Amino acid sequence: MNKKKFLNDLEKKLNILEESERKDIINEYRDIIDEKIKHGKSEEESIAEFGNLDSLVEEILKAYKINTKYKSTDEKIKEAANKGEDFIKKAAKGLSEVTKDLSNEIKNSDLEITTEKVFEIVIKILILLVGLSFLRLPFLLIEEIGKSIFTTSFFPFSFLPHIFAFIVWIFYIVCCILITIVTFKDILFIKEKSEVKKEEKKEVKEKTTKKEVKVEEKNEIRDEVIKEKTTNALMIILQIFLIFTFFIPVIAFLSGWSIALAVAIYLLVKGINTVGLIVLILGVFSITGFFIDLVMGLFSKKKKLNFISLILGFIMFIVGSLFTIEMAFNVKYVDDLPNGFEESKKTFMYSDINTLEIDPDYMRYEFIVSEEFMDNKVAVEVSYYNEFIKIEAVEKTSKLEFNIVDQDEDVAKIIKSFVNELKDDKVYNYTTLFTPRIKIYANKNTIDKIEVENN
Amino acid sequence: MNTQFKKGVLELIVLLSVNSKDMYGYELIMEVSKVVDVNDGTIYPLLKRLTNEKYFETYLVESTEGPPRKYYKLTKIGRDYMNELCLSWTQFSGSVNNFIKESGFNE
Repeated sequence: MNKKKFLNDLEKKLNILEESERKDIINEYRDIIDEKIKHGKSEEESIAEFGNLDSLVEEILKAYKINTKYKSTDEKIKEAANKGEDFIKKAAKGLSEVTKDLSNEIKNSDLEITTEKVFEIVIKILILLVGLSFLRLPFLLIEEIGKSIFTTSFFPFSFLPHIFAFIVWIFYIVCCILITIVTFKDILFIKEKSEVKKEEKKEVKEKTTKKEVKVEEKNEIRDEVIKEKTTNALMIILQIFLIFTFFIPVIAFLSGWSIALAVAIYLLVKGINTVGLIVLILGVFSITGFFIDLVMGLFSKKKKLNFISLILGFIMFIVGSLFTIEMAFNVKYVDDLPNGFEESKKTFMYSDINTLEIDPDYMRYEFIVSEEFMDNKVAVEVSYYNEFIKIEAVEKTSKLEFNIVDQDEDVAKIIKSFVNELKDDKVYNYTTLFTPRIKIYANKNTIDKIEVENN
Repeated sequence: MNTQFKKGVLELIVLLSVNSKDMYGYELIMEVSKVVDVNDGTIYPLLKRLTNEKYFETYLVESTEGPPRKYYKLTKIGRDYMNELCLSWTQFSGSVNNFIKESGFNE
């Protein structure tokens, strides 16, 4: 290895440091190598004497209290926090230099707060407020997505979206608190610092410099520990947060689709061609699996993403939907009932009816003009399926009410009929089983006078 | 020479060297190698660390033969730290030597 390459490699590996520090180090090593060459060593030898480059870099960075082995988002958070801190400190320094008189006055009193510190606090509060309001946005987004997943999936509980939103909100608040603690850690722990400084003042002068060094070290270490603890806490909070905002909605989502898959398989077994639908659902599973993998990767720091499952999932989804659409187009929808269901009819005769109370969602009615009826005479014919409902007519002073009583439903019969008809690509409207049809016979005058009230 | 011993005592030797005379990087490596055989790679990071901790001060001296040289100089707290280390080492090596005598190794 030659000098140029060695120095270049070294510079690259030290790019975590500030430029001035880095230049300084590179210059020093260049000088040392040059000096060795002057004293008779070859370039190769001089460089080999430094040993392994990575160990060298590790040793150098130790001087800056940088832990090189731990490369993760923790470090990035710390770095970002440190850069932010430096910027704020510079701004604070600039402002404090403008107001020197104030700082002298305050120094004369026994407070530990200098103008620098005050401006630091003020700037931090402002940035914190703005930053926290922006922080709300991603949380809002997650909230909305989670809510919509909860309401569209086949989950039986309707209060879940609101609980979910509440949990997201709590996490947001906790994050805000943690960030505030990290930002103001020096001030929150200022009590301990001032106590230590008072101790120091009581010492003999010879020993004060030694104590200062120790106190500074202690404070530095404590700062590091605090920063580490809070970033660790933030990481844990982030992980728990992900569990709630990602995994629970995903479970709801998947359970809904699993039910759909079960239905599709049942129909397939019964002889209906639902292969397209099954392929579609498997595609959805594959895509969801990919996203779950992605999020789990944040926990275990594995960077291998299985893109195949994503691509395969998409393909299956599209192919499946094409088949399903084709199947849907082939099916004919008949707005009636198939054969095999027994209909009953009941007829009621009334006079002096001028109001009918009918629930249009549950009953179908039609007026049939029959001139053979006398004025105010009404005949009502109700057709219904007595295996499924019973109909009662109640007359209450010129008003006719219909009450529907549900019978024990023979669900098995409905399902069997549905499956059989689907084999012939036909789907019938089974709600008519529960909807009585009402025919009202009267002459034109009477019909015009009758009011239909909605129930 | 045992690596564990070397590591422990390197700081002290570096501090003592600079105490006797302000030195630049290469000079210091040569001086330390007289006492302890070390990998050059470990000396400079140590210098950096001691400088960051304010035990050393650095200043540049123009040189006729090339770029300016960076000299290391001991600060007051550096000297205090050196004295502390020296004392610790003397006490420590003293106890170890006594212990060796008592275990009958030297006989």
